[in-house]
Formats: sequence, C-alpha cells, structure tokens
Amino acid sequence: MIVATMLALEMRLDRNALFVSPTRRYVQRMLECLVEDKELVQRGALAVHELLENGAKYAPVGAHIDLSLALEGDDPALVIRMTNPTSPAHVDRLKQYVAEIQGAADPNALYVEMMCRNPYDESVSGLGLARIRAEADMSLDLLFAAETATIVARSAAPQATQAA
Amino acid sequence: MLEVRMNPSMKTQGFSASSQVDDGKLMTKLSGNADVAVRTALADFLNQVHEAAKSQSVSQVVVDLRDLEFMNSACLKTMVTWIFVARELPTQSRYQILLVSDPAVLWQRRSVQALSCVATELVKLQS
Repeated sequence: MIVATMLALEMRLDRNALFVSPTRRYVQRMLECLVEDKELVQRGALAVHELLENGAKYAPVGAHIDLSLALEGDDPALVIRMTNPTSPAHVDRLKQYVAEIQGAADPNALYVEMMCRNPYDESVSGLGLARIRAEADMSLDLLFAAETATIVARSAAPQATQAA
Repeated sequence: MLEVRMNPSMKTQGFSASSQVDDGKLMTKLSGNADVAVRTALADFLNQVHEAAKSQSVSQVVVDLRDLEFMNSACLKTMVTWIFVARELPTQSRYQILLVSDPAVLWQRRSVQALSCVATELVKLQS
C-alpha cells in the first residue's frame, strides 16, 4: 500500500534543552497553517516537546537530535520521529519503558499510575513518553541501530481518537 | 506587633508565579512557559505555597493555569510531589487544591484530569 505523505519536515538540532520550547512553538505554528484539526496540532506540539526533552536528556554531549514530522494518509495521521545516539544502558531502560506503555490496556490509567511512582523524587519524571501516549493519544514505537534510538509517535485517525 | 506576611511569588525568564490570600483561599497564578528550565524554581514556589497555606490556615489553594503556555512532564511531576506532600497533612489542617484550566487547551485539559486522579479527595478541577 502506498501511503501519501502530505507534509514532511526534517530538522537536526544540537543536544540542548534550550531548543525544545522554541521548536515546539515552531512546529505548532507550522501545523496550524496546514492542519484543520486543532486538537491534532496541539497533540503534535506536546509530543514534539516531550520527545525532544527526552532526546536532550539522554543523548551524549555534543550529539545531534534528528526530528521529522509527516502527515500520512487520507485521514491524515501525524507521524513524528526522533532519533538520537544514546547509551546501551538507556536503550535497555527505554525498551522496558515503551513496552510497558505499548502493553497498557488503559494508557490513561498507566499514566496516573506512573505519576504515583516515586512521587517525592523530582529529579526524574519518567512521564514524558507515557504522556505522549495518554495526553496526546499517540502510539509509540521504538527502532534501534547500533547505539542510536528512534522513537516514533503516531496519531490515530481522527475518528479513533479518545474524547476528552 | 505588626506581622507582615509575604505571599510566595517568583519570576524567571519566560515564567512567573504569584499568589495572594483572598477570602481564606490562597490564590496562585502561573504564567508563561514551564519547561525544564523552570522545574527547580517551580518546586521552590510550590514548597513556599505549601508553607504559606499551612501557616495561614487556608482552606483551599487555587492554581490558575490558564495563562500557562505549556507545562512539561518534569514540572507536572513537581505538581504531583506537591499534591503528595499536601496529602500528608493531618485532616484538620489539610487544604484542598483547585486547578483552574482552559478546556480549549489540550494539555491543560488532559494534564489536570490526570493530576486530579492522583488524589481525588484533595484535587478539584474548574474550567
């Protein structure tokens, strides 16, 4: 099956948390010009922010983070990919974390449960990807190559998204 | 003796938080962009809010999020920590938390809903 891509954007960013909020704003404004579904625009902006903060946190100093966005299909689905080099130890943790999110029957219940884990430890939230699944209502997939991780966030078709 | 009470407030580049006591409630307002650069300052602010709420025996702390452009997951975790700390207070001195959000803003709607589920007896929502 050939999936039509209506929009494609690719960016390479330095590993720097200072770029995260400006990039979220840029993506949100770009999507506002191209996507009628205002909820999808906000879901995409939220996902971009959390993905980039994750990348900025776990990529080694001096590394680059690659971000791409595409609108695919007739519905359309928003597909966000973020690739960054990371350590094997983090890859293992990421696999476990994403598998737990993927396996959750109720992503919102898992999100709240994760909020309540180690609630007094503010040094690590551990919520970013679960938030993308629950609040942005986007599925998550992981791809690995050598010591590089790619996280793919994909919106469901509009009619399949949850009502708030 | 004159007693001067300073209500918590803070300001960083791109983010500010303020509070005032009104009718037995501590009214707080968050504005700007709460990203990773703000997490520590927000945690300090919420600690001060907790101490002020205790010392002034307020019945409710209102957190107005409507002027907040975005709050990242690290700052949300800081809110969770505050809710857990508030829940530890003895029942007679415990204050309620009211989160005021803009329902047109997706992250506000969804985030406050999740935060309320952390402590349903303590956290109420208004939109």
